[in-house]
Amino acid sequence: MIAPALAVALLFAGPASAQSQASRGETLTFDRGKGNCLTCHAIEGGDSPGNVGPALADMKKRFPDRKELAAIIFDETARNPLTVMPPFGRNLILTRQEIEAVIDFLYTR
Amino acid sequence: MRAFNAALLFLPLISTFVAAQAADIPMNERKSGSAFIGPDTKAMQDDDTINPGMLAVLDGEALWTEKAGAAAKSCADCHGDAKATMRGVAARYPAFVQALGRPVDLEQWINMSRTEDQKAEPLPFESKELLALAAYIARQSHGMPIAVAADAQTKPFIDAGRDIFERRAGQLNLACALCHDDNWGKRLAGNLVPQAHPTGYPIYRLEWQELGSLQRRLRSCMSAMRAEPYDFGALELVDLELYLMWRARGMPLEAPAVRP
Repeated sequence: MIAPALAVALLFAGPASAQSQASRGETLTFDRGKGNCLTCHAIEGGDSPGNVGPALADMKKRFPDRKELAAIIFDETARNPLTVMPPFGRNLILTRQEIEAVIDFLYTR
Repeated sequence: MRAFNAALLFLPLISTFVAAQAADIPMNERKSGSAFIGPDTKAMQDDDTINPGMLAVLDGEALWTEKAGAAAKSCADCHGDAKATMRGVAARYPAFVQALGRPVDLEQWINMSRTEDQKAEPLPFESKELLALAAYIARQSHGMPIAVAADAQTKPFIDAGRDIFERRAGQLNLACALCHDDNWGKRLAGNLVPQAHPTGYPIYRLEWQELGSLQRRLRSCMSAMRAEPYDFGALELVDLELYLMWRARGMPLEAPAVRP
């Protein structure tokens, strides 16, 4: 399901564009109207975090499988129906490309 | 193992409809919203001379004796001294109205008396006058335990309110219960999540810089969930108010409360 977005991400996998993708991801992650991740998660570099969800640190180590992290952001209710986490992909809050950018940023944390 | 597999089979089926599975907060662990505010806000609430909501209480006291409508009657003409006759009243609202066959909240009840007894125009939702009268009446129950009726007549409406409280809604796919039953005491965007016991309405909210009703607060919560808020006066909002007051039964009223 996430193969096309992944392919797009891989197309731009050069060091310079990965960096700009991560910086776009940072904007999306901290934007209260988009990723809005800080409302529930503490992330290094972000102000006024929440703690309803776990802190987002060591992300590359904790989620070596990029697809798993993408699936959680897209719709965690598919795995855990009782989760409080909004289904960012399913409910059209973030596009698949935006989710990939968020992951690029989270992998720097 | 077989039961486990069977449960797995049904997971996708129920996931769309699943409500928050939150257990109710045990009675002895319930806390007023006042337990979640900063010391400055608490000090402001507790001192009548600096609680901004007390200005509305004074306005309400003046309105109580002001004649209104074609009947040229004031609240006091029928109800006398509010300090005696309104004592405990706000603690019982929303209350069931036989003629309507459903509960109404305090503001709606004030407006029913305006139209039926005073022959006056109803006061608009969130108007200064309506909030002032509500604050004045609610103040007469200060410290008294919340005691909405939970009987055969109100039970269906309490249950309907609970359904709304536990049902996911909006783009963020949240239910009231997910935050206020399951995650109270944690932080959302730096703010403590309270338990959602409406003990202090109408409240003076610093974010609003004015007094507001419980319906207004519920609507702004729904907007934050990115759900379409019910209109002021919607039956669903009264159901939700009634459920929340029942959920806070026995807790002391502290209107007008001050909140961030």
